[in-house]
Amino acid sequence: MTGKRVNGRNLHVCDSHKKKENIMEEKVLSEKESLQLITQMIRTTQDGMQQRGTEMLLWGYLTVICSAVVSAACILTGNPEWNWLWFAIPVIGFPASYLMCRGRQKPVTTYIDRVIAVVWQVIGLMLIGCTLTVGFMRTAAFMMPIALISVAVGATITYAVLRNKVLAVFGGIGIFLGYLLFGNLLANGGCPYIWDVVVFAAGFICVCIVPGHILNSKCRKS
Amino acid sequence: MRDIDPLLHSQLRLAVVSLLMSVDSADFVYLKEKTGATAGNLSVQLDKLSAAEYIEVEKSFVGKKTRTTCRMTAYGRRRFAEYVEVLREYIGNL
Repeated sequence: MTGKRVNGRNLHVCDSHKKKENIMEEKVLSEKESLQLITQMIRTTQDGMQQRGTEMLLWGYLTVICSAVVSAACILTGNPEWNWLWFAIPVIGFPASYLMCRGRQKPVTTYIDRVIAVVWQVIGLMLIGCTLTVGFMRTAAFMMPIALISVAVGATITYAVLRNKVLAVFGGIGIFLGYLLFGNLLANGGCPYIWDVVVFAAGFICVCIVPGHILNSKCRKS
Repeated sequence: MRDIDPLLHSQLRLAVVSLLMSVDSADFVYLKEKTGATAGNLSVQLDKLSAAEYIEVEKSFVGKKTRTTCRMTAYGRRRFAEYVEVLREYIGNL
C-alpha cells in the first residue's frame, strides 16, 4: 500500500482501494474547488524551476583555457599558426553542449526555457557563420570581440529573463569588455596583443564562469 | 448562463490542464508526480483530453525508454479560458 497526496488530501492506494481512488480522481468539483485546484497546480509549476549553469561553465572554461594555451604557445614559439587552436572552441564546444542537453532531458519545459533555448540557438548559428567567415578571410583577431559580444548579449538576455539582476550586470560587463576589445583591435589595425587575449578571457570569466557557478550553487540549494 | 465544460470539470483532468497551461510542455512522469494520480488513470484522462484536442501528446524515445510529452493546443487554451470565465460567472452569481 502506498500513500498519495492529491489536492491536499491523503489517498491510500492498495488493490481494494484502487476503484475508490479512481472515483475520487474523477470527482466533479464545485466552482470554488475548481478555482482552488487551478491556483494550486499553477503554483506547483513555479516550484523548483531553477536554471543550471553547467553549459555556461563548459563554454567559459573552454574559452579561457583555449585563450591561455594559444597565448602561451604564440609567445613561447613566436609562431602565429597556433591561432588555429581557436577553432578548438567550436569544435569541442558544440558537440559537448549537444551531448550535455541530450543527456539531461527536463521533465517540464517552461516558456522561459523555450525563450532561452531560442536565444542560444540564434547566437550559436550566428557564431558558426562568423567562425566560417573568419576561417575563409583569415582575420581571426576580430572573432574575439564578435564572440565575446554575442555570448555576453545572449547571457545578459538569459539572466534578465531569469530575473537575476546581479548576473545581468556580469553580462553587461562582458558586453563592455567586448566593445573595449573591439575598439582596441581597430586602433591596432586588427593586430591582437597579449592584453587583448587577457580582456577576452576576463570577459568570458564574467559572462560564463562566475554566473555559471552562481546558478549551479542556487540549483543545488533549491 | 453558459454550461460548464464537463471535460474540464473533473479533478484530475482540470489538474493536468492547469499544470500544462503554465508550462510549455511536461512529461508524463512530471504530471503523475504533481497530480498524485496513478499511471493508468492519468493515461486514460490524457487520452480523453487528447481525443478532444485539448492537448497534444507526443511519444519519443530517450535511450531505450519511451517519453510521453504533453502540451496544450490553441483550442485547449481557448476552452480553458472559457471554463475559467464560466466559473467566475457561477461564483459571481452565488
